Amino acid sequence: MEIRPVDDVTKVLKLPKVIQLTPRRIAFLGLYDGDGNKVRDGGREIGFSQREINIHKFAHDMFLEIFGSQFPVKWSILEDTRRFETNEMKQELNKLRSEIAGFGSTRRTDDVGLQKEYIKREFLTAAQRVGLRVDESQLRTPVVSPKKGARAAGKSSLEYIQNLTGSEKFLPLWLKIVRTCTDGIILNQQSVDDVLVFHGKPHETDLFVLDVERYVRDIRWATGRGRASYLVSALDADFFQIGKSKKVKVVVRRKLKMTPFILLSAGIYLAEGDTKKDDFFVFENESVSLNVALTSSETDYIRAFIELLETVGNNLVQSWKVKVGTKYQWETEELAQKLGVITLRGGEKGQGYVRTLELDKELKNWGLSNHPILKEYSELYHHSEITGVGIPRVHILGPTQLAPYFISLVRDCVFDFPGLSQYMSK
Amino acid sequence: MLSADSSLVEKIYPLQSEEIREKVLASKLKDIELLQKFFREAFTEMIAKIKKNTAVYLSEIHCILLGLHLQKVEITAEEKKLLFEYLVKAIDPNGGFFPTIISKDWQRRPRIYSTFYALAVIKLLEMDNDFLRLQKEWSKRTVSWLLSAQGTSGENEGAFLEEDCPLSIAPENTFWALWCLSYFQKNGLVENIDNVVSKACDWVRNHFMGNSEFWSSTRLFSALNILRTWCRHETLNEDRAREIVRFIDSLKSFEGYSEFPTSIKKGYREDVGHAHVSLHSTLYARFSLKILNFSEFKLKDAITILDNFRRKEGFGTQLKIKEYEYGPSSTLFENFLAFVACLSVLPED
Repeated sequence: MEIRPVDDVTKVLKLPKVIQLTPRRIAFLGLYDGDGNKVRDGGREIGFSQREINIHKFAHDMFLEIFGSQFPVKWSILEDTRRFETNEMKQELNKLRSEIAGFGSTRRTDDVGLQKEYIKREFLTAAQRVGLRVDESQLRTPVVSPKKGARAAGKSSLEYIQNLTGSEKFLPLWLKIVRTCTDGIILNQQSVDDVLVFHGKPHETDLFVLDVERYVRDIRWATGRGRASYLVSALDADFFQIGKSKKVKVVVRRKLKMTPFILLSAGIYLAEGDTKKDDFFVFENESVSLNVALTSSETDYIRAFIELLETVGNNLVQSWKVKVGTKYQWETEELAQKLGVITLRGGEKGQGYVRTLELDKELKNWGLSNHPILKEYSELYHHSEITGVGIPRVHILGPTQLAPYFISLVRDCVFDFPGLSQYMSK
Repeated sequence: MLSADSSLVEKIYPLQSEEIREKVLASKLKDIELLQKFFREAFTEMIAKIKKNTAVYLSEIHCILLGLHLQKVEITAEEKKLLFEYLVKAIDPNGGFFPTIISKDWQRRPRIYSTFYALAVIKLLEMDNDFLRLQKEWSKRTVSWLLSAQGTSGENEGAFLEEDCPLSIAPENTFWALWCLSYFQKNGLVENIDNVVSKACDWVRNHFMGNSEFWSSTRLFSALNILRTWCRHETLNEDRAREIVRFIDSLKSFEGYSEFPTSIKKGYREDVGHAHVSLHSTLYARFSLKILNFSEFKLKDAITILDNFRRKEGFGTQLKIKEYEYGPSSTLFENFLAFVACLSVLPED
């Protein structure tokens, strides 16, 4: 099927009349909804932004699967100058300078030129490592800026962006497809305007049922004292307990239906979750601090995350809080003034808890009114804080005990769904 | 009858004389009737909550009782007792009042603002003697706690701040602390606070008034209130007064006044958007201009302001961050300020 925009019929998009929503594609829709380009204005292209290269490889494969090669991919690399402000990085750049000069290259050897060359090489190496084929001609000039967002010397704010060049006119259509599918799945609609049709309700219809106990017993993660695995104990016919130690355990479901909802939520979590992206791929071999949490201002994501936790086990929402970016401290002060009080903020820099009880209550109410699903968890509200940069948002925390299982599940749903099927319940 | 030291109330809010207030109350303005009803209903709701021992903020109790006091509503002896007993439950034995009786452990700290609101309520209830007799030792501890909250060095010297929130400096806090200390002094629980007051006045005059980066409509009103209440011998010089008037003028737009100049936010973000014109900022701006004898506040001004800030739930401001609503559109305190606005006006000739 050929699709042409009415205002420019020279542009064409070829798509099959029916796109099957495979597990990978559903997970990708969730991932794109989080990290894909959603800005319709300004002639922006279909594109995807991330710093983790495995996730980029997956997005690249999915773009290729859906759009074929009709839109050539261009890559952008962005970094903050502060990353290069350590002695170690300065030595790295000096090495690079000698290397470039030694070969009589015409490439720039000033600081900015070297920084750009450094992040370009770093990207190409990473891409090669995960089997992502990128030709240098596909790279846009890397950007190194002091305003990218790194907070201290040596800190990185690296971002890779892949864009489908020439796809500008089709971004609205693509976003419509993404939103129709994500909304339909999150809202558990079997059919949306006959455009999206599932065989059953997306929260209930499974591709197979996962035997969680078998799956969990095979999970390993690295710690300072070697590899660790879960301690498993029985509870009842539907649930069992898992824990990293004998003392603290969480209750999870024995059988998990692998539904479109689980796959979509896994994609959303991969993009939006607070778990460090690298950790998904290294936790089995490197000791990292795994967490399960989501910070978001999007009601859909908050709902998807909470429902995913609810599906996986019992009482897995531990607490939630409201975070308001420092940029919005003035609005917050006005909110306190509306209540006849002042904003009291803990911490030397005011980064701690909001300590005016009246204001804390209003911020909780704000969370509840903007994200109705939180009403069920009203008692689990912990505090508010004025920190970071974003607009007011909600942070939901899951139990640390759950992390290796949850992180494995999300990763495998997105990257290795066929591999999960070996744990199919008999 | 609820009673307050009327001169004190007028120092906090620039109300008109008793006689003019009577006229305004009797004028049958629809908004005034609505607000009178609002506070009577709020009182009934509050008493029900207190009977159930649920959380009510002392700031809310003060707001409602002062609202009733200004319309000369009587409350029963039983209600007075109930309120008194509730306040006593919010006492921190080490000094000061908690903001409410129920809170998480880590939140149980006395606050200067809640101590001000609690003492002001006790005064409104005319139960000072009973309270101070019962809580003599506590009062002394409270005085010590308040005195320890005054900054002793650097740019905070003289200002009152909460120990666990070193960054939260506002003239409001200093006003509340000085009010509490004055209250204890009048009741013979602290002998001399001249030095404390003098340092606070220095802070307001030099640090706060001397740095317009800290200015906002509400903060300026509080600072001016400190100066006129406790620092009478230190009048503002004419240049500074003009500077304040210019600053307030810069906050003005068609519907009223904003709290902050947008230039403050520009240093931090690109999406400054339009300034919020808010009810409290507008009223505080007008009250400040009145304190500075710069402009009168007439009935038509109050009516225009109330028209601009009328909401479905009462009077107030809907704050927004980008397109998202931030907080409620109307609060109890905003309705109280709207009521004060009515009672602060000069009737039209």
